[in-house]
Amino acid sequence: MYRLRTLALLAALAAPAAFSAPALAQNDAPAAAATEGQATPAAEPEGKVIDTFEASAELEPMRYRHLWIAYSAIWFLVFFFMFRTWKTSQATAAQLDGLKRRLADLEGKGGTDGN
Amino acid sequence: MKAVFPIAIALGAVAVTAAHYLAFVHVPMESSMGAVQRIFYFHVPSAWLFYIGCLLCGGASLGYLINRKARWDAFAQAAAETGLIFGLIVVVTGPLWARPVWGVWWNWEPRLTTMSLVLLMFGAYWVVRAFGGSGPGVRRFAAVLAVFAVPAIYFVRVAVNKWGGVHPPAGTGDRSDAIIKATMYNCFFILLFVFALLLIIRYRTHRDALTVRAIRRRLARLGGI
Repeated sequence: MYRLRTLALLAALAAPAAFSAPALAQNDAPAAAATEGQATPAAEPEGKVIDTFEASAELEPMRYRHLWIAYSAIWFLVFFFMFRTWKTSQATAAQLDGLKRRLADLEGKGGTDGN
Repeated sequence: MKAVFPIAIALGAVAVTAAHYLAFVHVPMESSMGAVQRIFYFHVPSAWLFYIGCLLCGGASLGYLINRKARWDAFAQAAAETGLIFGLIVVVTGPLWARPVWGVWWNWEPRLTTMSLVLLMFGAYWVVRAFGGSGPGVRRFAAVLAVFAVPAIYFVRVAVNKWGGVHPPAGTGDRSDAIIKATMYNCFFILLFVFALLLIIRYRTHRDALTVRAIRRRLARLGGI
C-alpha cells in the first residue's frame, strides 16, 4: 500500500506540468515565435547552444504566473512526501522501541529460566 | 531530538519560499528567453542534486558490496529515491522550457538522451528495491546495478561539449550576469538542504525497518511472536 502511494505521489509530481504547459506555450519571449509542430529547435539553429544568460528589465514581467503555480505545486508535493516519510519514520521508530522492549523482556526471562 | 525534523521541514519550506522569491521576483527577466528562463533556477540545481543522489547511491552500493553492512544498502536506497525525485523534477520542468524555446517538448539530442538513460537506470534500481523484496540477492543485484549506472552520469555531464546538440551547457555560462549566477547558486544551496533532509529521513526509515525485521526474526526464534 505504501509503495502504491509512493507511485501515485510520483505521478502527481508530473501533473503540474500538464496543467501549466498550455500557458507556457503562449509565453511571449522572443524565442516563442516557434511555429506549431515545428520539429527542430526554434530559438537557435542546430548545433548552436545558448552559453550565457543576460538580465533585462524591459520584458513584460507577469507571464510567469503559471510557472510560479507549477513550482509551488511541485514543492508542495515534495514537502508532503517528506512529511509522510517522517510520519512513517516516527511510526517505525515507535514500533522498534516496542519490539526492543519485548525482546529484552523475553531474553531476560530466558536468561532467568536458564540460570 | 523528536522536534528536530518538524522544525527542519518547516525551515526547508520557508527556504523554498525564499527561493521562489529569488527566482520569480528578485532576479530580473533574462533578455533572450524571457520568463521561461526562470525555470533554470530550479531545473539546473535539481539536475545537480540528481547527480549527487546517483553518486551517493553508487558509492554506498559499492560500500555495501565491499563490507555487506545493511546500513550502506539502506543509505544507497535512500539516496536513489531522493535523487530520483529531483530527477523527475528535471524531466518535468525541462519540457516546460523546451516547448516555447525549441518549439518541441522533447528533442532526442545528446544531453536529453543520456539524461533519460541515467534516469531509467536509477528508475530500474528503485523498481528492483521497491518490488523485488529485501533478500540479500536482491540487494546485491541492485548494488551492482547502481555501481554500473554511475559512470553514465559522466556522459550526461559532457554530452553538450562532446556531441553538441541544442541543450544549453552545464551551469549558467561563464559570461552570465552576476545576479543570475548568484540566484542559481542560492537556489542550489536551498534545494541541497531539502535534498539532505529528505535523504536523512528516508535513510532513518529504511534503517529502522531493517532493525524491525531483524528483531522480529529474533523474537520468532524465541517464540515471542
